[in-house]
Amino acid sequence: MKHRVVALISTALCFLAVSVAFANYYGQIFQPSPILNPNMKFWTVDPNTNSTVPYLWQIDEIRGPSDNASVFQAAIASRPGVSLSVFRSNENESSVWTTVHLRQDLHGQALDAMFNSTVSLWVFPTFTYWYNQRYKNPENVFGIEINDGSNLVWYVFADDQNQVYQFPHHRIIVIQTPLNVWSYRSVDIAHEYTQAGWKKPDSLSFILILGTTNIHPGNWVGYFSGLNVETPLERMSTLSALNMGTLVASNVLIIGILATAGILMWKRERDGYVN
Amino acid sequence: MSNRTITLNETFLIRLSFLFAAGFILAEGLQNWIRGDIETHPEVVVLLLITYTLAFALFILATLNSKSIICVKDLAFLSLVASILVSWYVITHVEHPGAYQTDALAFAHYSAILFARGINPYTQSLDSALTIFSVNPQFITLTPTGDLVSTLNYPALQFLVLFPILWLHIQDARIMIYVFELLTLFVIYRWTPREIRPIVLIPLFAGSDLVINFSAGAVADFLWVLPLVLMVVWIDRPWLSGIMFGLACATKQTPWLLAPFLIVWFMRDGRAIISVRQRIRRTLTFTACAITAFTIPNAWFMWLNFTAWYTGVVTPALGNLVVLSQGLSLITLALGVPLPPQFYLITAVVVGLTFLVNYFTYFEKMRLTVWAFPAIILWLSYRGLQNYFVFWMPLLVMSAVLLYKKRFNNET
Repeated sequence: MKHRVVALISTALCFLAVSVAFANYYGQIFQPSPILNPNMKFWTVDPNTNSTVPYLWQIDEIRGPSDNASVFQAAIASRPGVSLSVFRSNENESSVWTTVHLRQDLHGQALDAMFNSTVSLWVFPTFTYWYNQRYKNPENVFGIEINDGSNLVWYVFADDQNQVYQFPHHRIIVIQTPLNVWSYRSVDIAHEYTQAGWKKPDSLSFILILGTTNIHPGNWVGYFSGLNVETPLERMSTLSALNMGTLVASNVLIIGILATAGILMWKRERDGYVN
Repeated sequence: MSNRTITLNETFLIRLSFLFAAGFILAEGLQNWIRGDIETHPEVVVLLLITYTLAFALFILATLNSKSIICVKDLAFLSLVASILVSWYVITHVEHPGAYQTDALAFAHYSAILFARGINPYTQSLDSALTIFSVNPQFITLTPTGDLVSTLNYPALQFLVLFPILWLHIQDARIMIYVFELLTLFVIYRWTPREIRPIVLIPLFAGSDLVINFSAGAVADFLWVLPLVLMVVWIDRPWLSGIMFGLACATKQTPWLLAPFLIVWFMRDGRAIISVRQRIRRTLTFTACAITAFTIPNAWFMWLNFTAWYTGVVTPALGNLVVLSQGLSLITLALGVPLPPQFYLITAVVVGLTFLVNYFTYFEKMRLTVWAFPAIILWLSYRGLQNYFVFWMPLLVMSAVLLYKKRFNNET
């Protein structure tokens, strides 16, 4: 009989320990990075374009028939990264913009994590940001685009003064960054949505973007590296009083069943039913 | 009378094994017909015709009213092996030629290549392996930072064991997994008493994942299963079983979970006939041999860069990978119950300790349940994948055979 007590007590203690761990850890968000493969380590062939793309990323291009756009792995100034480049021809074509996008779509938990995170990365711009002085309209871009289908946020990395342009559905944040050297920059997407007065969307695209307009034809290139999303671990919720009561009641029930089983076995043994 | 009864039973079991093998071959035949790209691979057509013929021959043999089928009693085993080889060919040469389905084997193979060139693989980024071996992106492992795992996360024997294929200039490391798998099946089959051999492998062929799909898909777990099977075969010789356990642990971290249970095994086994002093000596012999066998393949890499080796080998054991599971953590993964990996780690540890206490206390009854514990513990962990549970089946089959042997010995 004394040996059976070990089984009963150890099982009861096991349930108790797991229950305590459950109550203690319940609600702690475990959010993996919303951006997957941020360092673009593994390149796969996209059968649609017959070009290579970083694993879990997508490449979009807006260009005319005489333009060119590409994304490729590159090491510059002793740092490996990804290069975005476009060639805008002089020919007068229908499209105003020639751009290349490196994109990941976020929704659900990944979107929540993104709005709770700071995105940091190394950038290597090679050209000045130009915009229409009168309308403040951009004429080229190198940076990050956040596109939720209704609203756009652009983080532009260029050797301009820090400034923000707010339009009804477009917010441009120019972050002063020296040209032709690596610089580490951080962006807070939730902060910009709050500043713009926009609601948190249901989904969004996180895009590394490089582009130019017909006003600035030629070759344009920029580099990104070391993308990192810092998501703080925090308690999302705790067990409600009702759920805590259920947990305690479950443990009492289990221990009760185990104790009853122990008593029954003891009685059987005492009455000589056990060999 | 007793011998006649055994013979009759054996004949029945042989018939049953023929029908089982035939059914399995038919099932694999259909799968190979689907994945074999038969319009452009005439050799697959030939293999299919042969395997279907074999299945129908087993139909006839199983139902032939003749006791002489006992002369071909091993035919079911050989047919199952043939079925494995055919499916292996179709999967590795037609369906996924030159492409590994897991990053683990790609990293191990690439590590072997690096080490052959004198480079310590534990200090290298192995992401080139993903491209070289055309790893299926679906099975690439991610860390919580979203990054791809690109370092070697296994003990050294995982890639050292692949050296023969480098020497023989074989491009596909999956063949080594199959060699280990076939040896495992052969050892279990030969070790099993003759009269129950026909049915002993049936649990392993309950689905095609364990014996075909995982190995063909580059899941390399048979590399550690074979030494564990040999450990059971030689369990009465602590020094030899210790070496086998050490080699299993030097291949992958999964068998590490057995260590405390095996110490209990050697401390408690044979209490009625072996003195305490002898049992302590057996336990120390087993432990020392296991540690030595584990250390020898790893020692060079520990000496070169202990931090890199430790980080590589302990990473998958302690976590730092995204939640992905067919286990308990599905409630977080699929239902969104907000629980961090620490909860699952504590649950696995607590349940493991409960098993250990009960194993010690009720050793006589639970002695051979030991192989079920790691599977259950891993199922409770935050990263519990199918191959963490299913590869314990060969050991569990051996437990069932040991119980049969014990009962048979008691009766005779």
